[in-house]
Amino acid sequence: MTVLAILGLLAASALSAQQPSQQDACRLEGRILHHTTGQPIRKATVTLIGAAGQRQSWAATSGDGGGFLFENIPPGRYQLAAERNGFVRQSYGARAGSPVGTPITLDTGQRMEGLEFKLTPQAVIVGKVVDEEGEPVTGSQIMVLRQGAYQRTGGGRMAPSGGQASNDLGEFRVANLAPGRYIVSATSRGGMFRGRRAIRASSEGPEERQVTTYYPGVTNAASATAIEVAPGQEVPGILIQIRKAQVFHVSGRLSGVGENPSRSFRISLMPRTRFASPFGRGGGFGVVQPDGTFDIQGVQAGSYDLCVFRMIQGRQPMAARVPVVVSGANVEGLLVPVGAPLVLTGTVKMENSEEITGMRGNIMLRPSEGFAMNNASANVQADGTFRMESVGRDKYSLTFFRLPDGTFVRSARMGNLEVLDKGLDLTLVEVAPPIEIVLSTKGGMVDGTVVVDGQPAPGRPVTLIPEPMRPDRPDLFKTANTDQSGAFSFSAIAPGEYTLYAWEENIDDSLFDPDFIKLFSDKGKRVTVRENGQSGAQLTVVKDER
Amino acid sequence: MTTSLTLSLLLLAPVLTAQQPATPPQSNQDSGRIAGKVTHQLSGQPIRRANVTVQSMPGRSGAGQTGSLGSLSMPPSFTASTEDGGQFSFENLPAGRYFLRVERTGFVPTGFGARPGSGNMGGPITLTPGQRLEDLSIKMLPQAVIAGKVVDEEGEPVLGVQIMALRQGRYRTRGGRAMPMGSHSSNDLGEFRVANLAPGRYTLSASARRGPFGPRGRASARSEAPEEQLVTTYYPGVTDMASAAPIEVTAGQEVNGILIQLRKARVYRVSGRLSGLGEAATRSFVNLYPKGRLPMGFMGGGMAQILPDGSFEIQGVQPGSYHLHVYRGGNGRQAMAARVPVEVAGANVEGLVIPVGNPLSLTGIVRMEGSEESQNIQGHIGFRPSEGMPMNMPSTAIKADGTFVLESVPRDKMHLQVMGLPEGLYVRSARMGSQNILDKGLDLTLVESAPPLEIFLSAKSGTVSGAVLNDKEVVPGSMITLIPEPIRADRPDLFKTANSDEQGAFSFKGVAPGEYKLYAWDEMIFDAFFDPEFMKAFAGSGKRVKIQENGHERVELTLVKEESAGAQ
Repeated sequence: MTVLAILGLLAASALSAQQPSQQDACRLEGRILHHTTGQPIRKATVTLIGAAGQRQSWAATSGDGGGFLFENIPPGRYQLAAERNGFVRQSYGARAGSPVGTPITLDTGQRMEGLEFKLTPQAVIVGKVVDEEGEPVTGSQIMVLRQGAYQRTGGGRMAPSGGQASNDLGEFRVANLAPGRYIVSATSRGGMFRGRRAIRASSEGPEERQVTTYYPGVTNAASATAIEVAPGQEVPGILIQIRKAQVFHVSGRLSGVGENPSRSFRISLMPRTRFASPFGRGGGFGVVQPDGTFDIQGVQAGSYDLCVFRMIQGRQPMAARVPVVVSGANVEGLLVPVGAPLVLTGTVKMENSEEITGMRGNIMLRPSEGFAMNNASANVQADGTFRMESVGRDKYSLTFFRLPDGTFVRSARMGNLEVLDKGLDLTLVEVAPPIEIVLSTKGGMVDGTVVVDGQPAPGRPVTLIPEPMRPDRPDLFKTANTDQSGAFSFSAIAPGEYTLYAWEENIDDSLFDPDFIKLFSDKGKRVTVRENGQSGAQLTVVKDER
Repeated sequence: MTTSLTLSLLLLAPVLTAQQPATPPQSNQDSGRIAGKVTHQLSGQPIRRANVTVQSMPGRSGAGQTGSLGSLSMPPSFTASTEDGGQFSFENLPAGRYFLRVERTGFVPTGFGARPGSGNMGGPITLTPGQRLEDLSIKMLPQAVIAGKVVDEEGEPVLGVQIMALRQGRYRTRGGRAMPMGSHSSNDLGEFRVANLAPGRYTLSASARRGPFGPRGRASARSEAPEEQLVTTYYPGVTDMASAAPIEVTAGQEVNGILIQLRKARVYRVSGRLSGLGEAATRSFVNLYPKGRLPMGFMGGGMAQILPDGSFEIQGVQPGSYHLHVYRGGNGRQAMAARVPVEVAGANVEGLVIPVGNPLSLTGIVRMEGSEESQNIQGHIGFRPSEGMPMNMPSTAIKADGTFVLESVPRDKMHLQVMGLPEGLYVRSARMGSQNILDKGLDLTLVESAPPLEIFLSAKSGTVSGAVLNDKEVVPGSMITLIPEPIRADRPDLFKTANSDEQGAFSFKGVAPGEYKLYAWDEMIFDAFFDPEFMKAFAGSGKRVKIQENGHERVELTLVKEESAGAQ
């Protein structure tokens, strides 16, 4: 067991290295300094990580004067990160609490010197978890969620900033926090022998369970008290009393699942939010009995998607999804049809060209509504073909990744149906005709700079959002971070109308959320992208003024 | 982007580890009851608010509504909380065999009938249809705690060091493994607190995070000085487990102030190139495992990803004997594509050139001997490597028509292991093409393709049953091992283990005819029973049995004696 766990850890590790033996090798030299005092920081671990696609990274330790040095680095784009016990782990140029920093571009043979990397002393939140009798709760999962710059607007998303389990005294200590406002949640893990879904021996009366509780003792994140921490501050004495709430069963039967559904399917109840949220509460999961029935227990009142996942080696695509509302009673007798898995095939080609060579990319189906998880996807082969197995019966939007450089998706058809704009409805089809996707190189370019107080602002995320807002066209949304001179650039953009926004910090999936974007509609800058055209804009950062 | 990724992974985790059916017990006349009381082992006082879990044992007896061994689903389980007087009860339980376990903050988790800290799950409880089992008594020991601090060579606290409390087992001096009984990661003040410990002697290991969490990547400004790194250190500050100072704790004791100073040691690089991976290279990785059984807490190996040109470099490797495993990436499970021995002693290992075979799949069929019948045989086909750690081994269920397909099997020498067969069946013979693979194993390291496997089962198996007694007292919850005589590590299918139940009784069905030895262990010995060296030390403690076709043997066992301190 332990051995397995170790393997998992090792497998999770990512970065490797290779000797760069080019003549045009670069060099990067800098110093790690204390953010407020400016004092040099020694023994910090500095990591230079190749940008996406590069699998190389380098590590160095800062010396007595805070200095660090990377030599023999191939030219390219990098993220620089530093960590030191007692300071917030940080990416170079990142805004407080953001994991994404400003990329550093090293040109051929460049020798970059005098880089100053300032580290912020960590804040710490210390406290204790007790149950309704005031007894310490062991092994309760503590999550510390940072309230983002746009949080109070109801958009944006809280980012988990640190987590750990309470010890046998119920105590926790979450360190490495950037200054900011946090809410703290505790989730009882329900016993060491978890992994077994324990149910109650007798079932009289409404069932209650310990549920995720937010400081100081509420079950609704919106009513939680935020804790504000300054750089280097330690906030002790955060007492969280875990609450109980009534929980229910959601049960029913899968139909059309064939032999041995226990082995072939898993079901999961996901809070019905469009986007992953740390506040998703009270879902659950279960297995399917040999007769196709299932029973998910311990479900809190709320709106959910019941998702059925097909267990195939290495991947569990969603096979069916139905909305479920739980309020005040068990939900019984659900009948969930799980259609035979579909196979989707198709071709990706270039506009005005019949010859397909060296094609690449990944095509993913994102459900048009509800929670998106374990989406069916396929890699595009060099000859342009792709094949998606075990596609669930749902409505989808098409999303694309890693398409050839300089291309955008001009059109997508399934048989004679247009599916890029209208989406793909697979709920009723018997057999899906092949999909034809056409790429174009005639996209436009949008670039510009972000300024704050008249100065170029590095490390700000910029989003390009189609106008009018089209959440059903995720392929039209783009995000980029400004570089060290505050510049951003998007290329191969499908012609059309867009709005550009520059943000204080990453807004994650909120960029797809019309209600969130609407709040800032007057802060965006409209651009029209024409075929092979170029548009520019100077942006200021969107502020949350509530 | 990073954040949303992390979140989706968090949400994904429950699905991937998805558990049990949550079927409530059916009310019917055949359903039974298990009830009892949880008390403090030392004071005799009742313990309230303890969590009691009964879990039905997989398969066979009817209680397991789902699941055979090795399948993804786990049998159902039920939980109750003890009342003020320590009582608990489970109503409406289907007949079957159950494990019962209890936990409570401040106490050592205990299985019914298991000695605290033995690592055993405890004995199974058998519930016949309609039976009412009352008055089970479960005694809990208060936990011991070891708390302290980890510092580096300058005395500065070190964050994120994995602390493991390794229990010195009763059979340890003869090669038995120290059992990890608790672990904890040091906080930003270097502090740790390992709770939940049973009384006993512990060795504390501290492993500074590296690789995935610690300093990643290579040093680019290469100094001439030899490379040193913080390495796994045992309390009070040694790198050799045998020189560690054990910490003895009694029930309820809290030992504070354990200071561990992490040591630095010279580390090396292992680098080379893989040929034949092609485009899969960037999804593949190499992993260096110590040869032989992995010493607990040892982190001296390492891993690396493979660059598009097939090259790799593993850093921070401590001197030792290793196996380098190559895992090919692809859709899903990463299959071992090659394995080579590597010795690291006083220098970097460079220029390894490792040929990697194409992915291989195995097909086969399971039949009954004589009738050749192959319909509806339940079970799982798996393998155990002849050498080295069983890592990422594939297994698959036998289909209704008796056939099976194993995708991306390791390029290794392995032995067949068939699990979860219907009661009374055993593997009589197995062939790959014309080759006997039951005795000889399969060597897939170099083959281009593998002929289909043919596995023959026989129902003419024997049964061994008996009881474990110590001074005429029945011993529940001991670990019983059935080991072929002479010991044959190359026939993992012949080894069986079981726990004695509440009457001290055990039984092995579906035993292949032949000579065996039976041992009753007082605590979990993990897979040490595969190790001829370990078993030799206890040869006199085993009881020999000869199993005939369709035969039934009964034996009475006594516990294998624990060693006196300092015994060699």
